[in-house]
Amino acid sequence: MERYLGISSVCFGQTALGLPLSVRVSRQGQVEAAGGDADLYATSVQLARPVVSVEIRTRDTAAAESLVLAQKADLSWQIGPTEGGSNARQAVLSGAVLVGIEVACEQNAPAVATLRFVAEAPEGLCDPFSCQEVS
Amino acid sequence: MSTLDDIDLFGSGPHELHCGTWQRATARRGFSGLDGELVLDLGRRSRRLTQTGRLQAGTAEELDGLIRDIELRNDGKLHALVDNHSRSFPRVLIEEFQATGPIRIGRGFWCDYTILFRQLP
Repeated sequence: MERYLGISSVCFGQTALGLPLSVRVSRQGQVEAAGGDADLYATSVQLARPVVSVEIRTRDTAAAESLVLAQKADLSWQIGPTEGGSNARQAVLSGAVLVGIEVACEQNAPAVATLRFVAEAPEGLCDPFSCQEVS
Repeated sequence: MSTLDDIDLFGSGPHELHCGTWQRATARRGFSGLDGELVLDLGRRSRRLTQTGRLQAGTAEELDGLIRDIELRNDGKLHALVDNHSRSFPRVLIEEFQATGPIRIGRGFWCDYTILFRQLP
């Protein structure tokens, strides 16, 4: 179990997104299951093109509101180090397209912006998400 | 797994057979004074069998080979089809074979297809 002690340096293109609360990376493969007329269960599970998406929650609502939907840029962030002593990790989602901006303001609580990105792979073959350890 | 002339053409993926009913040809006649009509039974004609399924292979070339093997049997000759439930359909002609979508990459290469057979009595 990794407990991250900090998320920092969240940047979308030239825009720095301060005060990040969480980063969620999601890889969804669209399932296309099929079976024959003699099969009780699916005997073929294929995946259509997977979608790599990232959701970022931040308290920097001013920066979030300055962004425009459909904007495309590289999204990068750094997480860690962890409580267990693992090094920090630098992650990049290249070709990230901003597909959702949500700003929630609650009574007597800091506002939270949720940004959703879906990656567009330029060649269609390379994984747009990459992550590596930094010392 | 269904076979055509005991050859496993479709076993790379799941498939199902939709079996049509036999068609019967008739000629209907009438003339003055006849209350009703005269129906001439011209006999059984044919029935249509539609198989849908998925072809799968490790490479695009292998998948292309599977498609070519099926297309080779679209030769105007009569074949014997056996379906997933071991039901036999003799005197079957391939009328049409078509991939119902593009070749896609998932866990290997795959495409869905439809093949239309016509069975003669």
